[in-house]
This record gives sequence, C-alpha cells and structure tokens, in this order.
Amino acid sequence: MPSGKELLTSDTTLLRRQLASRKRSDMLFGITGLSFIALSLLVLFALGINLLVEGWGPLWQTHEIKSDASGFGRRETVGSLRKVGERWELHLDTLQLKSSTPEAELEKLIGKKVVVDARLPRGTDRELDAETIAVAAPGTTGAIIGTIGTSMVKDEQTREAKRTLVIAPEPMSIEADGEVLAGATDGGRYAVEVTGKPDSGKVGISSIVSLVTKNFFTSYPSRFPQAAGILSAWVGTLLVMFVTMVLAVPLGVAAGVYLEEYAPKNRLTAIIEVNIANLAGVPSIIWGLMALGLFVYILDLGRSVLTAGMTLGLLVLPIVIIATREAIRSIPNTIREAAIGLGATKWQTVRYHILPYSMSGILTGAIIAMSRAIGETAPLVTIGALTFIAFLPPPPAEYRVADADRAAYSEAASANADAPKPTATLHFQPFRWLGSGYTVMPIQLFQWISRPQKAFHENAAAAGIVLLVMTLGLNAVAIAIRYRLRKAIKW
Amino acid sequence: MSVLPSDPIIPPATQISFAPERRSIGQRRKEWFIEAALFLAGASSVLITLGIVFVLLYECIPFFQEVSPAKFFGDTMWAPVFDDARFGIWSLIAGTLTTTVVALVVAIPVGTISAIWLSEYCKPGIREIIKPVLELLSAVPTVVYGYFALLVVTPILQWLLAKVGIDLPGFNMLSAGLVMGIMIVPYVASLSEDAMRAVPMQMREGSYAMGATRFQTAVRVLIPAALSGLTAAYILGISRAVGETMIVAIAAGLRPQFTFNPTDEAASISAAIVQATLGDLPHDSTPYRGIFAAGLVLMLMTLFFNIAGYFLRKRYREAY
Amino acid sequence: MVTTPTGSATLAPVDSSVMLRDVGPLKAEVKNFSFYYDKFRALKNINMPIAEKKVTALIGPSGCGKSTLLRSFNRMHDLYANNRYEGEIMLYPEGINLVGRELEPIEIRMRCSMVFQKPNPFPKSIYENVAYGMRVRGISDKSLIEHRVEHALKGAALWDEVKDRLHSSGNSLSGGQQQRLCIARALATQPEVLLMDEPTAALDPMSTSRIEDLVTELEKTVTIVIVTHNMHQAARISDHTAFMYLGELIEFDETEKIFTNPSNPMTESYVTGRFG
Repeated sequence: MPSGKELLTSDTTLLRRQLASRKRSDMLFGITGLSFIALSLLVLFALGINLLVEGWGPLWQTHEIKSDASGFGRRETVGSLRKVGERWELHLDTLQLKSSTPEAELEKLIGKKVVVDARLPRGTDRELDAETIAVAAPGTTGAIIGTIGTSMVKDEQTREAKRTLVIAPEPMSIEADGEVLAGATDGGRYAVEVTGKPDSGKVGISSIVSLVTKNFFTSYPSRFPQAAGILSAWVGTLLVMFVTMVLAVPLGVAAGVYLEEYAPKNRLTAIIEVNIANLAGVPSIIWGLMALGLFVYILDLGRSVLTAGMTLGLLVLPIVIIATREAIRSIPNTIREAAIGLGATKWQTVRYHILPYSMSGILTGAIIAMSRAIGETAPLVTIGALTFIAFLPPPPAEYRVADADRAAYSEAASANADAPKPTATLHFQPFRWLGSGYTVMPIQLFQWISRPQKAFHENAAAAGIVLLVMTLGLNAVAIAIRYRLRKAIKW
Repeated sequence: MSVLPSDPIIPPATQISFAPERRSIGQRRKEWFIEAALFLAGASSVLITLGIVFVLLYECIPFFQEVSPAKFFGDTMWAPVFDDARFGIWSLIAGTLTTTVVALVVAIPVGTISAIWLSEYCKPGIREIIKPVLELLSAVPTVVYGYFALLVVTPILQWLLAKVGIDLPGFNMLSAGLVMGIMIVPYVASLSEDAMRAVPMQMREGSYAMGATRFQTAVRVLIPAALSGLTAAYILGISRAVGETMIVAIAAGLRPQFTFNPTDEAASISAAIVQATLGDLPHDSTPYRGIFAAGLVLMLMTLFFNIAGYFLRKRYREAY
Repeated sequence: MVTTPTGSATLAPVDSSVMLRDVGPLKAEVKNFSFYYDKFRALKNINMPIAEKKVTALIGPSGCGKSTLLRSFNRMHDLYANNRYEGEIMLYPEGINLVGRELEPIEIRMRCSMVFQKPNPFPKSIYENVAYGMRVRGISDKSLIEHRVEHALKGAALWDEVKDRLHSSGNSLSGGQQQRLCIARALATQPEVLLMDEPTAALDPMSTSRIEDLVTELEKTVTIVIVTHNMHQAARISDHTAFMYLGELIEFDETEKIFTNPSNPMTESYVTGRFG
C-alpha cells in the first residue's frame, strides 16, 4: 500500500490504486452490517421455525372428553353405539393388548381373528387384560372376537411413538336398561363403563356419557400434555387486556393531551416529563412488586383479573402517553391558530381538531402498548398468577339456580324426594369476572416450559405460536397504520 | 314572511345580548373542569411513581430493621428461606451484571453496526422495510425468548462448548445473555440510527466532498458527532438488560450464586424475585420484604441508567 | 425588455453562438449537460468552459440551478436517490467525464474539493479537521500531515489565528474562521479544482472580504468555481461569469463584459438589479 507523499498526487493510476483498498474496507463494512442485520433476522426466523416445528402438532391436536367432565380431560374407553334391528351394538375402538402370552406368540396372530378371554376395560383403562388368546374357529362364541394388529401409538408423557399390539374388537351386543341408553344416539361416540364379565359377546353397561372433541384452543390445562390446551389462557388474556385498555388508553391520551396542549412550561411540567421517560424504563418486575404490595395486599383486590389488568395498564401507560404526545406534536401550529382564530375554545380545538388529526398516531401507540402488555409475564408471576386455572371467569349474565333456591331445595329434598326442582333464572353479574382468578397466555407458556417433560415443551411451543401471532399481528397492524398515515398526511 | 319571537334561528335581540355571556360562563366552567381532569391525568404518572416508591419503602424500611444494611450489602449469599437466612445482594448483582455484560457484548456491536448500515449504506426504500421488521425482534414476548434460550440456544451451545471441553449446564447465564442481547439489538440499533440521522446532512456532505468512503464518513465523522446519542442508546440498552426478567429466570436458572462466570447457573435480581413469588411466600415475613429490598436495588440501578440516558438524548437533540 | 422573471414566456431566446468559447487553457468543460431530480429537469443542456487557474462565477436568481451545477462537479448528487446526469463534464488534462457512470465519485471528490454555504467543520479539533482529507486517503506520515496542515491553514489565512490552539474544537471558532477552516480542509489535499457554494452567504461583511481576498490569492494555484448570490462579489473576484436562469445558461462571458455590456437583455436586467 502506498503511503506518504505519493498519496497526495493527482496521478490517476495511483489514486485509483489506493482507492481500491479503501473501497474494499468500505465494502467489507457494508457486508458486515448487512450480515449482522441478516443474523438478527435469522434469529427471528429460527425462533419462528422452531416454534412451528415443535408446536405445530400440539396446536392442532384434538382429544375427546366426557361432555360432563369439567376440565381434567383424559382418554376414556370409547366407542360408538349403533342400533342393529332391535338390538344395540357397541363398537369399541381398538384396545391395547396386555397379555401374559409371549410377544412372539402374539405376533403370529397378527391379522387373524381371535377369541379372547379377557377382562373388559373399565372406566378409563384402555388396556385389555387378556388371559387366553386363541384363533377363532367359525361359529366360536368366545368372549371377544376381534382382529389383532399392531399400532404405532404415541406415549402420552413423552410423545414418542411406540409400537404396540392392539385388538380391534368386533361389535358387541349390549344389554342395558332403557334409561342408560336413552340419551344415546345412533352412531354417536360415547365414553362407556362396562360391567360384568362378558359372556357370548354380551356386556352390561353401567354408564354412558357422550363425548365432545376438544382442541388446543378449547381445552383447559391438564396433567396430560395431549389433553392440555389454552382455553383459560386466551380468555384470560382477552379479559386482562380489556381492563388494561380501559385503564391505559383514556388515561394516557388525557395525560398526553394535557402535556402537549395545556401544560405550562414550568418546573412541575419538566418533572412530569422526566418522570414519564423514567416510568417507561422501569423494569416490568418492579411493576409486579408494586402491584403485589399495593393492589394485592394494601388495597386487598386479590389475585384477580382486575389486579392484573390494572398492573399492565399502568405498565403500558407511559407508552400511550409518549405515542399521544408524538402524534399531537406532529400537528402544525397553524391548525391550532386557525381554530383559535375562529373563536374555538381550547377544549373545542382539542376535541374537534387535535384529537381527530392525531387519531391514527394514538391508535398506533395504543396497539403497540397492547402488544407489549400481551407478552408481559414477570409482573403477573409476581402478583401470583401462576396457578392451575381450569375454569373461566363467570360471564356477565348466565342462567343458573340462585344460591338461596338451591339451599331451599336441598332442604326440601331431604324431607321429600319429590320436591319440585328449582328453576334456573337469568342472573346479571357484569363485574363479577373482574374478581375472578385467571391465567394468561405467557403465564401458561412459562408453566409449560417449567415442566420437565418434552411433551409439555411442545405445548409451550404451540402456545408460543399463538402468542407470537397475537403480538406480531398487533405490531403489523400498527406498522400498517403508521405507514398509511405517513403516506396520507402531508401538512 | 314574518319573524316570530319564538323563531329558533333568529332569536330576539334581548336574548342575543344575554346568551353569549351566559354560555361563556358555562363554557368557562366546562373548560376549567376539563383542564383540571386532564391535569390529573398528566399528574397521574407522578402519583404512580410515588406509589412505586411508597410500596418499595413501605416494605424495605421494616426489612432493614430486621436485616442490617451491612448484612444486605456485605454478603455474597442470597438464601432467604434457609433457617440461617442470608440476604447478600451481591450474589444477585453478580448474576444481573454477568447476563447484562453478555447481552451487551452482542447488542452493542451488532446494534451499532446495523445502525450504521441502515443510516449510511441502505437505500431509503429498503430501510423502510427492514427497520420495522427488525423492530419486531423487540416485540417478541420475553417468555418466548426464554423458551428459545432454554430449549434451542442452550443445546446448541452445549454441543459447541463440548468440543472445546467445557461442560455447560442446562441452566446458564451465557445462553440467557446471548438471547437477551438479540432482544436488545433493535432497541440499540433504532436509537443509534436516530442519533446518527440527527447529524446534519452538511456534515456528511463535508466528509464525502473530501473523498471519504461511507465507512470513513461513518467512523470518523458520524460516530464522533453522534456520540452522546449513541451513549444514550447503549445506556438505555443496559437498563433494559438489567431489568429483564423472564429470559434470565427461564434460561439461567433460579439458583442465586455469586459468580461472574457466564457458563454457570445463577439468578439475577429479577429472577430471584420471580423465584420467591413462585412459591407461596408468606406475606409479612422477612423473605417477603427481602424481595422488595432487592427490587429497590434494581429500581435504583435502572433509574440511574434511565436518567443518564434521558439527559444524554436530550443533549444530542438540542445539539443540532 | 424583461421586467418580470415570473413567466418563461418572457425569456429571451438563448443564443449560444454569441457566447464566449475561447478562455485560454481549459481545466474543465461542461458539454450538453442536463440534470434531473427524479423527473424534474433542473439543468437544461448547459455548455460552458472552465479556465485553468481562473475564477469562474455562477450567478443567477435562487433556484436557477447554479448550486445544482456546482454540486455535479464532485458528484454530490450521488448521495441521494433518483438523481440523474445527462451529458458530460470533462476534466482536463486527461479529458475524463466527471459525471460518467464508470467513474468512481470518490476519485473525483479527491480531485475536486468543495466548500459549502454553511461552514461545516467536523466535531474534531482544528488540526484533525484539516488533516481529514489526508487521513481518509490513508496517509500516516506524521511530519507530512503536519506540514500540509500548516501549509493549508496558511493558505486559508487562518494559521496566525489558530496556531496556538490547533487541538481545540473546530466548533470553537467564529463563523468566518470556521469557513476558512473548511477552505483549509479542502486545500490540504491539493485539489485541482476548488468548488465553492456561496461560501460567504452565512458570514458577516468583514469575514466575507477576507474570504474574497483569499479566493483572489488562491487563484494562482487552483482552479476555482464559485456560486454566489452576490453580484458584486462575482464582479470583484471572478474572471469569467456564467448567468443562469431557470436551469438554463443564459450568458457566459468575461466578468467585465457581463457586468458592463451583457449581450442578453435578461442578463442585463439581472445584473442591474431589476430582478433576482
């Protein structure tokens, strides 16, 4: 590389030669910058791909639970009931075979019809305890006639595929009193509890409950990863966000309007400004401590939707204030002067000019604030949201039997079994949900990450997809509004 | 057409003379009420701050009566629920600082260089696209980053470090810090880019007119000119890292340990608060008040960085 | 007779045949040059010679394109998107096209330095400001840099005022001193052409006259193209003057001729102060 005096030349060839090395470092730096940005975006991409790969399965998983079960979903012995002529038949799903017969012997039977002398599964047990298994001769009247096969099933805890022997039973005719079968519809799927040792393919049924299919979004959390879902989490998130919005948006916009349009330039205003900038930087966990001390214990609001909403509302308040101020500040003074000049009062100017013109900016800020609040975990952990929530907060209006009526009925029923049942009436309870326990999406995710089983980590990934779609979706909306705003308004 | 006295459009003169005055009194009162309400909203931020300070002090004052400040600041072990309870804040500060430093080692170079690229190399049209996409990185919920750090980054790091003979535990500050760094990148990049774009165009033109390349202009002119803005960006990034909770709580573990080794498991201040509140911490106990004392320390740390960042930013905004 | 500059209908036709062509040894030449800000054609088919080691002044009312033309000489327009050059600006003796796509703008800027309207010293010491051009070229010879800095500061008539505080900030100087610092910065790399874009527009009369003296002094060693808003300044310091209006070159001639006996009535009404 040339140095010294010759670099101050006007000789074109020399100039070009030394320029080439400078251009190289310029280019190198450009490539570094671009690759750093690409690296950051790659992380975002990798994060998204990982969540999709891990969480896609659980996201679309379904399971069936008894329709009267409250939430602790679990695989039942299931089958469908069909009416054949005058008789009912029970078509059981495949059953896993548990037998003392050596596996090698059983494998010889794969694909063959067999007679099984077995104890039928009861309740929630899906395994068929077979004592003897023999190839079925034509006309055999054994316990169960079915076909032996193999099935790849996923282990409930580890979600690893396991090969197991199963039996696909032939339909069994059933005997049950009319009352039990009364609710059954032809072909519907039910959880059944069978009684008695089966003889000649006939079984007795002690209970029959219809099944409903639940998916990830309509299931409560569960001890079993395949049955677990985010129903209480997303409902909780929506409710908490509602409280957050109702608190933060009006308060933040009012504060922003005051600071931009009304506040005199004095010490107090300066203090408020520094203060807001600082509040925006207060770590979220500190907000949690504040809420724990103030809302939960001093004000005694409990660990409720209201507490959570208020905590997050205050947390995002500075974001709304700052966004409002920026939106208002971008309105040129000529608009204010024009309004004031026509005789409008200050409030009229704000109401009819400042607020409408800054609406898109304020809206963007509010959306960004909500997206921040949706993902906040730490403050809610601090105020004790990390509990197992398998219920929804009460709706604002519901049909139910009043507590007093129910008490009266149970008293009457103890004396007289034929006492008239109380009727359910419509109850309005618009604010009861505010005091309810809750869980939210990020908390549910945190809970699943904290479990040792891999299957729960996959559930966490599925919840992560939903959470990311929520926050990034809100951000995309905000970006779109901002972009359109920048194109549309030219002062 | 005759104008009746009750004509709503043109009121009689007697009414005209009174109406404006009466209305203006009502109007003035309404304006006063609105201004008062807006003032209260504006002042609410001060009330909130006072609320935070009040709660922290309300719990901290009895705490420091039970545990002397000498024990709090002179101990390196945090074990609030042991029989021999220890409240040495230094073990938590060590965890906080270590994760923060790891995060900054990622965020400052990547953020600054990305900012230079965005403001000097990138075409404005492309910048309009890249900047919001980059900002999405900071919109990802921290709990999702925690998942990523624990279940994706840690296994990769374990595999890599095993090759050089380092045994990385499942919970470690390295992975938490790295992911935290990525989270802060858009924050640092965005603020740095603002600072660099605030440098007047004449300064750039002056440099280019001398035959400088973009790289030379950035390093020799823009960075010195935007120094206070860049410092503000770094300081606000530090403040974010110091206060970050979920990534550390999930990926670095919840076991407080006095160590500055990033491959160790350790808890930051915020993670220790999470750890304490996860269990059923009895209200009105010394450990319960201990987390408020730890919170106060965290609050003071971030407050210091935030105020410094605020005034540095104000300075560069006024400079041009 | 033109009385209002508002309508282009009043523009007298530009007769390029009466323009001065022979100015002695050429340093540069603008040939059929047009410039576009995106779709807007800011310069229309300009033709003019730049004489070596002379001062060429560009005058005309605001928005006439004189700064645009000057900034084309060192490709300042390349910094912004959607700008387009058409035609040629030749630099002699090699005869390379300054606005040619194949030519690296940095190379041109190293040969044609620029001084801006508003003094823009870097946020560095006086010494580093002047040494900047050498630093970006990768010169590390300390004694050479020291020598060149002193030489350039003397050339910009600033040495005596700052020699005791070379390491204080460039921003600590007064406006006039800052502008001379920028001139020194431009001179330190021994450019062939010095482009000055209204260098005295932001200065007080005292500083202005110092800069004008400086330009006259520098003329001995370097070719200068200066944009000025001030006709008296052009008359005082330049050898040739180009009068531009609405992106067109109306008249180019020896300065004395432009100010005493212009051939175009537009020029006359401008130099006599009837518009502009």
